[in-house]
Amino acid sequence: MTTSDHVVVDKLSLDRFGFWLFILSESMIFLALLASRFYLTGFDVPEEANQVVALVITSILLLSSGTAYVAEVASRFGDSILFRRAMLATLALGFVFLIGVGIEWSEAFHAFPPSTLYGSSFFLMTGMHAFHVLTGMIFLGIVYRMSSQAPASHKWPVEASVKYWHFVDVVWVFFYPALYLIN
Amino acid sequence: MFIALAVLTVAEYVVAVSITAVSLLFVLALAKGWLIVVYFMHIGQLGEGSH
Repeated sequence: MTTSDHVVVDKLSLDRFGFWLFILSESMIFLALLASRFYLTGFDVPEEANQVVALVITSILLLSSGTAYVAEVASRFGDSILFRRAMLATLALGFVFLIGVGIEWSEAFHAFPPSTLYGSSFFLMTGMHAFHVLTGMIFLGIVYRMSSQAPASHKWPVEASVKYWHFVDVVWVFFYPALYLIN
Repeated sequence: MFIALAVLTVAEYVVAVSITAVSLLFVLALAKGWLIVVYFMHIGQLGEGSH
């Protein structure tokens, strides 16, 4: 093997590759949940499912992806003020999303409790997703704390936390129609 | 990008309420997921070095 045969891989590329492997393995868990939901209950959604709350929290999560993206761009350009504001907005929207899930859960416990087939799928899927939202908020919070002074010097942590947040959004993009819209 | 995602979300809701076409809902969800993965998560960076 000659010197030209060696492939030089820089650290950031390796970080990104490892991150996407992690995302792929996480996706398998969510795909299994999605498959089990259709296997157990077919294409039925109870009429009691709160469509208004679902649409509102979906919009909130999509909006939070936008603010997370702004935070990442601000970090790249070293704009610490915009970075801080966008990160805080993302965290606040994540918190509102969790409150929305809490409202939905309080209604769902009466309408389709976990003892029913649809209820078990619903609580497992939304619970697993909400837990990922919570861990995403913790991740963003840690990165916010460590890089709020000089965001440009923490390029990869900011990128990774924001990408993770987008992934949580992607999961909901598929969970939302599966749990509320398909009928 | 956010506007495109918002429009697709509204389209999903309208399709679910009026047409109830499961396959169309699946296509719309795939389109939203693809937009986020490509434009927000920059999956294209995987093949690049650090810039």
